[in-house]
Amino acid sequence: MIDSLQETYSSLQEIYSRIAMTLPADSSLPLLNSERSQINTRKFLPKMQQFGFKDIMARPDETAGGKRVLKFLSIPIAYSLMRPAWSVIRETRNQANADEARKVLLVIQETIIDFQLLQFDLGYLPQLHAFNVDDGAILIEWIFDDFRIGFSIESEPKESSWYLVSNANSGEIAASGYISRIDIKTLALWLINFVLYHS
Amino acid sequence: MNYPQNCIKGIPDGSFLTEDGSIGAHLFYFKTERSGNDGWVEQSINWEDDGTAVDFTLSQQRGDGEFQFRAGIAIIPRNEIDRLNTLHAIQGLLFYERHPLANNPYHGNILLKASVQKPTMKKIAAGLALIVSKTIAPRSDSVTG
Repeated sequence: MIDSLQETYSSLQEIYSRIAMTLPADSSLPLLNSERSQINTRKFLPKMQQFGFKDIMARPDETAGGKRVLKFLSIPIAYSLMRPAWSVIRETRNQANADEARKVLLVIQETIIDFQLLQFDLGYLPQLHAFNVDDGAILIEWIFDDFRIGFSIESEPKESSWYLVSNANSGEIAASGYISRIDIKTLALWLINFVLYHS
Repeated sequence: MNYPQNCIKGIPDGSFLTEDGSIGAHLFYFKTERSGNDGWVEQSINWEDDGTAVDFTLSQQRGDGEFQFRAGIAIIPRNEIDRLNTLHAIQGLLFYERHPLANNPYHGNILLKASVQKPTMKKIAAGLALIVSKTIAPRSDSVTG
């Protein structure tokens, strides 16, 4: 019984690690101790419940979920789209900048998942990329053949900006602005709507 | 002044490229803090004046003898720069010039009004990245960083 639980725990730990890699450092995801030699289900099961893992742990043949937390659903496509960007942010030396970039990426990721939950097919979209730029900023860019969407995360947060530029096939738009002057969730929603309409 | 159909932008190293070879907009950032007295900031290009301009650019070397463009070059149609410069939010902010150097007859600049704010500069850089018509791989004896 203990062996079986430990195997399940290891599998969960792997899934958990993969999810954790996509999250900002200040995420509320509870920690799992990889050094734990024996599973203390009473200790971590109540925390796992909020991510829908309780039933997997208790009864492997059932999948009834707990509380729905959007960012932990539909991980494969959202993670695949965001992976290159998250990977660069993890290597960013300027932690303050990296934290700001994580906030933006998380909003984009949550918006993507919202669209997935509404049954939009997003599997064909290109991946988001990020670059550590030599002016000290982080550039997050979503590159399509006919348009580009970008977020430049600056060392001075109020200088951070976004843009959308498109060619004649997508309306010849050249829009930009400061992130601090706009609701980032509304912006992400508008931009992803644009992506879905024009891609 | 006559200009050829295309200009050439060198790609210094792999940090300007994604895994699939797309160019990041930061390749086209203007150093706005380096504006001269003429009200414009510049970024270097070469003009594709003849059939050897591409090879010439790929073979350009830095002071230390390393190839300057170790990740290749990007080709930008000049008429697309002109079109970009007619968009409402960009109109009149871009220009280009010839600026031959002693060791580089093809050299020129894309110019940006020095008064533009950083978000606009980065948007225009993305616009330039968007109009790249093709990229050309570096010389085989070059090292991609």
